Amino acid sequence: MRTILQGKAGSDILLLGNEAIARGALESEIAIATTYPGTPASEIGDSIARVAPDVGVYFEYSVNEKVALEVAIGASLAGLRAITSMKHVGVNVAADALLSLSYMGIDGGLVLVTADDPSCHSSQNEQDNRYYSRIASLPLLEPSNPQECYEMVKIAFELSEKLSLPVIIRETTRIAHMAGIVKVGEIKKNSRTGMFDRERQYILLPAVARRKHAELLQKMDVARRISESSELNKIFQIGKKSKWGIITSSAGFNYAMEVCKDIPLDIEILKIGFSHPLPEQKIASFLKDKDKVLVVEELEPLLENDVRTIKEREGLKTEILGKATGHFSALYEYTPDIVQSAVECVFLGKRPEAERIPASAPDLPVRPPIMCPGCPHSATYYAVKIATKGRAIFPNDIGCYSLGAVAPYKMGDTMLCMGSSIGIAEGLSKSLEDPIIAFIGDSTFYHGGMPALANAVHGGHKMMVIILDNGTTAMTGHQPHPGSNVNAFGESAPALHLEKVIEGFGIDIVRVVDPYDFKNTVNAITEELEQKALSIIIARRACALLEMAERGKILGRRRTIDQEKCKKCGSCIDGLGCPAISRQDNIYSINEILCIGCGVCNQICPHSAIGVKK
Amino acid sequence: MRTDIFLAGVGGQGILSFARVLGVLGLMRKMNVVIGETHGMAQRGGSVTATVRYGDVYGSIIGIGKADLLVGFEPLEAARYARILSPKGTAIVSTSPIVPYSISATRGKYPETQDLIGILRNRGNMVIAFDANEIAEKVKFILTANSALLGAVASTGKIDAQLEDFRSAIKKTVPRKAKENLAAFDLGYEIGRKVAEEQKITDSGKKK
Repeated sequence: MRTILQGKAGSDILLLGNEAIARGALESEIAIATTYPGTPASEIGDSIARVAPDVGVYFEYSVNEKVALEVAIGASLAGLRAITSMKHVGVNVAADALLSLSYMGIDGGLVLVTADDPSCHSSQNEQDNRYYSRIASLPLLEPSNPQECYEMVKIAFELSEKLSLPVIIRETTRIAHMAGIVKVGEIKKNSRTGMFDRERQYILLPAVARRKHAELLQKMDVARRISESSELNKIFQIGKKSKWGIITSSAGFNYAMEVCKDIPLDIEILKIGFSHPLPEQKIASFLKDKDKVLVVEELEPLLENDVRTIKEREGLKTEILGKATGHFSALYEYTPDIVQSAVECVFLGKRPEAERIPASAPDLPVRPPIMCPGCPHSATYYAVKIATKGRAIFPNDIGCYSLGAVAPYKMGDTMLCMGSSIGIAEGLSKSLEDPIIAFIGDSTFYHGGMPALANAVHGGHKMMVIILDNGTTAMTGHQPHPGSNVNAFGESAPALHLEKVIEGFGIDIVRVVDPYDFKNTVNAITEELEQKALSIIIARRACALLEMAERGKILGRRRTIDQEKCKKCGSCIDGLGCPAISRQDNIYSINEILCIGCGVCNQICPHSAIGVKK
Repeated sequence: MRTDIFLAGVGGQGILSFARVLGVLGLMRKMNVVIGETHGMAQRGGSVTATVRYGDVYGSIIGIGKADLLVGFEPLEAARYARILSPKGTAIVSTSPIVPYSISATRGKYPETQDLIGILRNRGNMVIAFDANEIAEKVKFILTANSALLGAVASTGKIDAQLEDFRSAIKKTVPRKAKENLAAFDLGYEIGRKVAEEQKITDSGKKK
């Protein structure tokens, strides 16, 4: 097992971008680290979790991103250093705290890492979180590789304390999940003792807030001066001096460097690592001796628009190219091929290729992600399908179970953001006569579902909520949540009792079913549907992957199909949707490597054709 | 100087561990190495890819037609990413198919393995195709299939490392089952070497 503690000061180790961020934090005397797991940020928290007790750091998987940030703020106000990390949409959850935190100011260094996901590899949108640095008015650093991830965290902590402001580090999926060689330093344990200065005003009453806004602008002026002289904004000369330039940041820098070296071009590349506030004078002087400058940045044209403003203000003739000139798209992540096409078009006058060739062949059968063999969610979805005959509206939520939206279940009519299934179900239930069944995972319920359920009770909404309780935050790597009886380090911890929590909302009957007990699950759902009230069903069964990891073996005896009894009805594939069962030339068979012996298929087979493999 | 390796397979096949062995190899050889990994939703039984890049590289993405090596852990996944392979490149592919659930669900048919390998042949210069699971069964440890593929990778000579470097990278990353993994590695290496020799004979035949 890799650990971010390996490697003496000065040695080279192989680290993922996210691990490099964790290592940088551990070398910055952090006292507290928090997160809510979410791809592509998860490994930051996970790698700190593995070592936190050894290095004297308090680490937690917080209930959601807002609380994660608030816990970190508390540590900072006590004078200690704290880091919090989250995926891009997680910052939306934390934004209420973040946007006023810039007014309030901090004491101990506070760093927020946002992991953006251009191309929506594991996300519901590809929002550009660099905007948060503008809307909150906070310094922003953007690494391009693991070494920079590591270094920028250390710089961010220094900067944060100098300005008394939190600092945002923004990475993208490609940076977060890129491993490379990192020259590390020494792990430094926190040596500070927490102290809270009651004389400092951390209370944003209107009169204070007005004054603090002015202070914030002053702080950002100081930040601008630091950005002007920062080593993070650096010019790379490729070939001979020329009148051509590229201004770039984040992953765009990597592709620009490779492409320009490969062609090869005589060009200067200005890499912006400290991207808010921008080093405007440095950019102006870069533009001055250039005829053409291409801006290479993924997603929104933030940098590009600012470069244009600087050009106008300085009265320069430099031609600025990028999204506004049609050379780049604001959609999806870039690749070396995309950047090459734009660079060749701008500087070599080549015609851009009409269509971008995708890396994967479109004419071959696809292999989309699916729920795992033995996943209890598969059984729950199939049970709901039988009970409802598919006739209901199904607001769904964020997690592995989002895959319930696709075939064979097709039980995801909405999927928006963490916890939204319940609130949307309420609006639907007041607007439609159809039965409404919301699906939500246990971790997601604690994260964002609870206020919506309180609202459902008080609003008298008639609908069903099925909590898919697999005891963990499965999709992101099995992190514990407040309902787990262990904490991030595997130590026992107080667990919230889900039924009691819900009963506490004033809901008398909470039915708990085991999806592996298929018949009873179908019956419970059928009965509850007849109630036409607010009904809650907890479908409880541990995540099969986690259960197997804990037991060190599969769940039961592998199943097999009796070809003589099999009537080829398709219940196992078109109903249950177990990926361990395949159908080729109308022959049904169970892949014995994939089957984990959950035993649901032999319960649902109408012809008793599935049994234990002898 | 640059060596680009593209890895393609199905979630759960140990692709990230494979990339990590090549990363350790780079570190040992003091080469610059960059690895691109896939995490999150894509891993749930879907197509998974990873990249390993040595030398003068910055990012983790390999351009179309630029990969020196394409390692396919499953034939359909290898063929899916054939475009990544350079015309001078070599594809190493394990031939045991994993039928995607979506094919069963749509009553479709998994393509003929020979056709999938044909797609790779049309792209690259050489294809080393063999059943890595069969080798794993031979050494009596199913998780060694990837070491067999690594042996074939080593046989191409496209990575600037000695055979012993590969072997010590394996020992370093899987110390507990090193013996079994090294045995599979050797078998994979032999297969790779044989394919290369056969190709040499065919090529010289063509020239005449």
